[in-house]
Amino acid sequence: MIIPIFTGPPANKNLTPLEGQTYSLCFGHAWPHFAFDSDMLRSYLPILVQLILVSLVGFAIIALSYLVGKHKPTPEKLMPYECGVRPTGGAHERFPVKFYLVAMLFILFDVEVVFLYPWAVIYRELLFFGFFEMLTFILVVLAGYVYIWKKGALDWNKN
Amino acid sequence: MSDLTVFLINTTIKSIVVIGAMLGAVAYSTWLERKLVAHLQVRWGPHRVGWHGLLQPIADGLKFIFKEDIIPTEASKFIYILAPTIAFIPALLSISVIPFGSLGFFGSHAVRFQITDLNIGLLFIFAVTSLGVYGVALGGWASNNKYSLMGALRSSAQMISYELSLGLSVVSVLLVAGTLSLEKIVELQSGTWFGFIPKWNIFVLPLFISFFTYFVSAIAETNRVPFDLPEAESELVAGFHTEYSSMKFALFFLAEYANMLTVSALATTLFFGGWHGPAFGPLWLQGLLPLFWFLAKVFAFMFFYIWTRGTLPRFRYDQLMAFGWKFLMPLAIANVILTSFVVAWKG
Amino acid sequence: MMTFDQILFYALAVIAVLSAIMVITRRNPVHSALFLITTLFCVAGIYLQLHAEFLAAVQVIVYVGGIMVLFLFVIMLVNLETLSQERRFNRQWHIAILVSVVLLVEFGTIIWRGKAALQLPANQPLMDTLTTNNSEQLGVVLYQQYMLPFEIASFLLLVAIIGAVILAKRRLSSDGK
Repeated sequence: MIIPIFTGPPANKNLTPLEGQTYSLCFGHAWPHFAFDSDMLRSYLPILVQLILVSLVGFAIIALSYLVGKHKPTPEKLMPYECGVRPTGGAHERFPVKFYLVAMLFILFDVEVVFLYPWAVIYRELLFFGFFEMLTFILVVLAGYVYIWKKGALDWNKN
Repeated sequence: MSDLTVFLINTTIKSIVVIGAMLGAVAYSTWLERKLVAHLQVRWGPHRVGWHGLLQPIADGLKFIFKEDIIPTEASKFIYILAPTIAFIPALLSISVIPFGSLGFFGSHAVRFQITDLNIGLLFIFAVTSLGVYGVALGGWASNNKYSLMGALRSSAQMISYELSLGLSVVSVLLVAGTLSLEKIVELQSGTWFGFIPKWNIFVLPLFISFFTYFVSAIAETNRVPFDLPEAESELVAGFHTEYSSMKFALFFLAEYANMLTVSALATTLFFGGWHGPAFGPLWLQGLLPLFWFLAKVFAFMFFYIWTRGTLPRFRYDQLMAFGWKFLMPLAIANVILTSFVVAWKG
Repeated sequence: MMTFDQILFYALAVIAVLSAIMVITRRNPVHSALFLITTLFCVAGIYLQLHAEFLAAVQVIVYVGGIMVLFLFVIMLVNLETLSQERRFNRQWHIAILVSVVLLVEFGTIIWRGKAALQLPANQPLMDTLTTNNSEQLGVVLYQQYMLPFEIASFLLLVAIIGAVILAKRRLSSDGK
């Protein structure tokens, strides 16, 4: 759907307007001046521009507060905060293996989710063939899910 | 001017406009949040700076800049400074594939109200938002503080757990739409059924469940109430950003609100027809109305976010993990199977 | 004169290799992890240049968003202060060099013998005609032609899930006592 903003759409209805192209009216038809060498470049160059600009903004904000803010460091101020008392022991202690397990299970199920995307995109071509194909896949992975549930790996407080 | 130059100038202008708008929207989301929560609790909220406190976000920003920039002696300096930026960049990068409005013309110049449309737009958003966990994890680790590290580990475990159900819940939308390009997903939602029900995905029957799983896991993914465990101040002081001050703290804050806006924009795009809405009036108004409908829908989601914050208590950590892994994930998987069955049945 | 694409490719390749070297030479394991992430991003960029959009996205989602988070967790879980004082190269470096040389010879032979396939047809906009939508093409191939390997992948995932729980359970029970 194309909605004109200040002037009408190009007179040539067969032409899909592409963004960033300048259309000139010539004999009552609109023609693009150019086509990009690579569609890939056309789609991803704006991402690069956005990335550069956002990084600039991010680092500029940090630099600004470093330059403008005052600096009156005292040893107490630069100490790790621990509710007003002197910190006891280091911060980098060993942590429960639970976190590690969650990250590992996340990766495994994430791979399953990634398999679902291309399947969902072409699902209209597969229909019931695709349905049973993916059902088998999901059921096998779900067996693992039931296993970790039964083993108590999903209970945070239980060892 | 060469064509590439025109294109580059075009994108740069759009990026600057979008980044500026996002920063402004983030600033005023904080105002909206304070104001709304205050009114929900029968208070006034910010009321002194400007009319109804409207200048409060600007005052807050200035205050952040002039605050002392503390780098603890025991912190890993480089990563400590880098972490807020790592949180901030993906938050503002993922917005670049969201379509804000339809294609329009300025004179003979075609302008799309979207920074760029990718074939894999939806995957791009997930790829970029999955980086947000690094800002949290590295920030907490680099601070060299017990509470920071504990908060960082907890919230990264939470974020990755809910990322699964977030990823699963949009599969149903893909089954119906058959494309990963967000612009096409929006275009497929144009028109109405029976002349009055808009063809939004939310009204396609099993997709209501995916919207539910999407939005609940999105709230958890952005670390908001009732899943705001990283900021469980009664146990963890301030979580991963305990040691952060001045603009570095503000960047974490900006990233959180920018993520909320992105999540709301994506919910609008995937389930609520994106920029679709009634268009009327003269040509210029018809061109700008889609943008208005889009922003109105995003605002509704932001309102809902804040409303839940004013209403719900916080989960306990084990409840939170159990809710994500034992309820939301199986529900999302069941919904994928259900939706695919319905789509195959209809042919 | 190099084209924009070529400049981009060489920039990405050089950054990828340099960060890979940084990964094995940094003393601080968190810095190593960050450089590994940089390498993975550059490789994703090269995938994009090959018009493998889906692969690039999956590279970031699975490797950067998943596996590297696990690496970071492990680095945070073990006691860092003792680690950084240890030698960077442990006693297995003899074997490591042997394995690397064998791998290098293997890759070299494969590339040398298959170099005919690497030649691109001259003056042909190769990829634009070939690849209109990468994820759809991948889906068609994966879910029709390579259906069996896809189903086998589910068993691999199942084995990995069970393995992860068994490993963690052993740690949990030994920690508890």
